[in-house]
Amino acid sequence: MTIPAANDQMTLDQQDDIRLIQRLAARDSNAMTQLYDRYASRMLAIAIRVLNDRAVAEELLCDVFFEIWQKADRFDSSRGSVSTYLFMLTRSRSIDRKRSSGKMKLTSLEAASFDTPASGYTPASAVVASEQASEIKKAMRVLEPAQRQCIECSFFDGLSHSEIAEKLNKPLGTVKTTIRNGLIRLRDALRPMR
Amino acid sequence: MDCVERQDQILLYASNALDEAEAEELRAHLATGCAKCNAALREAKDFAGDLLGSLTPVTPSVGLKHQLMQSVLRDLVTPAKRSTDVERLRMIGYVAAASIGFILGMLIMYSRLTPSQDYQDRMQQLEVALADSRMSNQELQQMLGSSQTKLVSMGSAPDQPGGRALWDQEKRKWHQYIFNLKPPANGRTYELWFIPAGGKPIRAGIFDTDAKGAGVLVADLPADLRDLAVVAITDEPAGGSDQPTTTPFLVAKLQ
Repeated sequence: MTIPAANDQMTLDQQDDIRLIQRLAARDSNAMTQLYDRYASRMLAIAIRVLNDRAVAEELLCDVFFEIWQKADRFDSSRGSVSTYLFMLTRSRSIDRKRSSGKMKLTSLEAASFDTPASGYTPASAVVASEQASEIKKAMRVLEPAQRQCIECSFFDGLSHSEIAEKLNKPLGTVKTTIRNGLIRLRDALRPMR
Repeated sequence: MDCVERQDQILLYASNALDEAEAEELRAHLATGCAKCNAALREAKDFAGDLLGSLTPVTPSVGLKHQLMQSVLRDLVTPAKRSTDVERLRMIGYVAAASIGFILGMLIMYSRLTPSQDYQDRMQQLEVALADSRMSNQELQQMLGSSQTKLVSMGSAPDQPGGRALWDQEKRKWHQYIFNLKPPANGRTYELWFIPAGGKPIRAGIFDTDAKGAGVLVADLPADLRDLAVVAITDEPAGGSDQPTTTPFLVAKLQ
């Protein structure tokens, strides 16, 4: 097993997540139950956002968790938190599924929902997650409409720059610059929070 | 470009918004072990993760967790060998080819040893056996090679819910496969029942079907169950019921 131990620089939740992954790597099926309870709802939200199809998203969610079960011993906490790993993996697999089915299209902007989430696995962490999401929501609204639109297409819909340029009828160079500037602005707006 | 200038690039890389040429250059730099840039990448990935995690959560369907845990438990029983993705794909190819060859060979043997078995039954056995990709090659060979393995069918109308099962009488295992059955409604699940002759239904297990209408359940026959006469499937509340609460919609009579 190559999973580094939890350390004092991590939050309590992050340390708990690491321990869960360690238990998964040791083939503890109860750990899978706990991981599912903690993260399934947020991972499903990501999958639905990309795939725009609940049934397919649920099928994919099951596959992603099973993949996590099989590859738990390969998780490297030095590369990012467990939650980041789960969310990014869900997004990545969702985009792969979408591409393989040939259904790369813009979803409605109304489908994007940054409302304050309520989930978390302890009351304290739920409050933190809720506050964090609220800040992200505010920061997204500060972006210029074009920046927000391009970031949503790229980040949440999984479209390539060329696909976004085609869909929005904008030059490729403009799309790239818009996404770049939007992400930088978003990061800088959220930096004090982190 | 120095590491300070790379910070924005790292943000875009973590958000999958960097051109491939620039991404390759950045990966080469990160591979040198630059502590500052690798730390920045971790932070950027967590930023991207926070963005994704800020979407409003959606509660999964009730049966999804059960479906996942069935897969996990099945994997615990017959664990897949851990290997790289390339090795695994190659192994799957070899095992699949060997399985198909073996199954075809066994079916040809069956046709010679059991002249009363028709072509349709043999093809159904092949379809059912290949559908259970989680069964190990050895397990599959043993089951198909046993004269005490029976194929059981439920439902026969095209495009209607149906099922086929492999009844391993030697190991007292029931491998149930379901087709064309839409996922249960919210708060509901499907339940399989073993019904002995003249006796009350015995719970065999609950399962859900996926978006394609396919479902799988592997159940052990209770040690004290004798004279199994009927197997049935009903629609039950989530978590199943102690006795059927609805009329079975798929039934197989074994006697």
